[in-house]
Amino acid sequence: MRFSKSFLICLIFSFILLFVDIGDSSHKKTIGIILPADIPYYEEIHGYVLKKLEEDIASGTIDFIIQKPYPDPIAFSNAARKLIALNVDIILTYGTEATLAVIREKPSQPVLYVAGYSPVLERYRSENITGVEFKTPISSITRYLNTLKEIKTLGVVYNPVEADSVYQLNETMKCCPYFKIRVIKIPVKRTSDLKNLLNETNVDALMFTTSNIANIALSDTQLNIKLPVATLLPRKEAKPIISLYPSPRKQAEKAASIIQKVLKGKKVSEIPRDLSADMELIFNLAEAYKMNLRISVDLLTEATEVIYK
Amino acid sequence: MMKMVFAFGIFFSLVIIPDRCLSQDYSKNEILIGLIPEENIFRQMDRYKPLGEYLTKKLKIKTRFTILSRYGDIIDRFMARNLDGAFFGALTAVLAIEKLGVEPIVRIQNIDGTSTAESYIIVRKESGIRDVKGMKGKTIAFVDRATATGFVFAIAYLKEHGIANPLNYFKEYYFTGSHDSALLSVLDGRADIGVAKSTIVKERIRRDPFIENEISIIARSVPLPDVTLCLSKRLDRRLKEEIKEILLTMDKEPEGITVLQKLGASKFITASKEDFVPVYNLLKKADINIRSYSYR
Repeated sequence: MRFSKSFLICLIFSFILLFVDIGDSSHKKTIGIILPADIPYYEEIHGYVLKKLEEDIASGTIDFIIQKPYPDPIAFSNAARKLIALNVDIILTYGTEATLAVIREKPSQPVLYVAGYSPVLERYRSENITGVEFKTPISSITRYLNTLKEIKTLGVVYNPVEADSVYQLNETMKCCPYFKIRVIKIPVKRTSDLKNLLNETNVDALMFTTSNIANIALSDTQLNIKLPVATLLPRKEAKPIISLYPSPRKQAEKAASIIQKVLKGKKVSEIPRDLSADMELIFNLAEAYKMNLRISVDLLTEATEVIYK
Repeated sequence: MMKMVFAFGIFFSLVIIPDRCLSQDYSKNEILIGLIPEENIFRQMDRYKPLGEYLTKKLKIKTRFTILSRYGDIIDRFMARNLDGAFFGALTAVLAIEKLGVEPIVRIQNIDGTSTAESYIIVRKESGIRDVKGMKGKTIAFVDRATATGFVFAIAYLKEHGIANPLNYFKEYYFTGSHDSALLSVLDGRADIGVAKSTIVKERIRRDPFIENEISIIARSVPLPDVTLCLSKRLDRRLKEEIKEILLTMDKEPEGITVLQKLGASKFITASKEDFVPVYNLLKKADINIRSYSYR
């Protein structure tokens, strides 16, 4: 009886070992993801990335650990440390600030990023980091905004602690004199800052940089902005008249392709960062009508999407 | 006497009657001239409308312009709409000379004294694209297959640099339909590379000088004949001569000068088939046979 009990335990243990072996955990890779909370644009890219990696997910070759920190430097840093401590195989970040937070922690794992702002990230080149970047042509969005109405003052909503946002503010200040536009800085460190600052500022139009905080602040439906708004990240519920941002689908396609290459064993140092131009230009004709603004037909023909209602 | 009457009759039938038959067009009450959509069509129509009114006044025949919807349609539309002539670009002029037998009459001389245009391959300055190698796997915006400055030059340039199948060299390519739209595609970051005509790019920079800080021209073609008025072979030759004479002399009178200024031109100069030799050379470099070229 004692023999048969021991035999049974051995049999179960062998079966468990066998099962574990079938699962082949040595080939399974874990991707640690930092996805900033409350930014629908990054969520959309992430959705497309998962779709592109469907086969890898189904075959069980990859696993994810997702961190969705509130987009502030401390929360990003904590999320980065957590993923490093969990010893994930790859760290995937969305947006510039999350990427910078991981880079500052100097991880040994490869870092892949999506929707990173090129002029900021080019200062952080390393053999262990690659990804998909973009650079918004600030002059283009200013040019389009200026065709809607004569703009003398442009309020630029940015966050002084987000590097991409500060870079975009400086770019706007460089190009605006050519269009005879004066830039008014609207620094938003907390989402609650925006409403007060807008009440104190008198401008002809607003431009929202890619700042995470500014993007979340813009989603506040109580803002009731009566000015033409241009955004460098989409925020549909805020109904900006013009948006210019990199195509989420194309960012995702490129990111998934890079992830697959790394999963197949290619060195990150051999994968060049991708800075292709895949911008989407959206005009909201319905909102323009509400403000009595006319978007000319030749401008509309340039759009990748026109919102009519 | 009978012989003389007979001889006169034959002379009349051979010379006078055919000429009268030919001059039936001269009695027409409207001249319809096509325009290729090289820039924003509303701006283009604003530029050409005064010229139509000027020709109407001088010829005493209503002269109207019609913008063809796209470059690739130009030969079909020329026939279908029974056009009397068209202001063609370098390649569409060659296509029309070869396929329709049109005759180049006059060419626009720009304000800066040039009557030619180059093709530019443009990129954003920070793109890092400097040469053919850098173009690999990128997105390129062409104007139309039926343009020398907005398509054929780029193909010839890539072939000259050893790229056997230029369109497969890019991740994506598309046609914008106009030169300024190709430029805007690059400025907005919707395309990495754009191919557009120098005159349109310069005009944009004149109106918006910041563009000069944003773009780099990484390749340019030899000068190609710019917008050329070609007239139908059906049109009465005396009417052709009259149109030519009006256009060639309009810079000598105040009213004509005003019309030219609105057109963005200093004057018209005589055009001929020989002007298009550089276009034929470009086609050869691009391995394009104009007679069988699928330009639509």
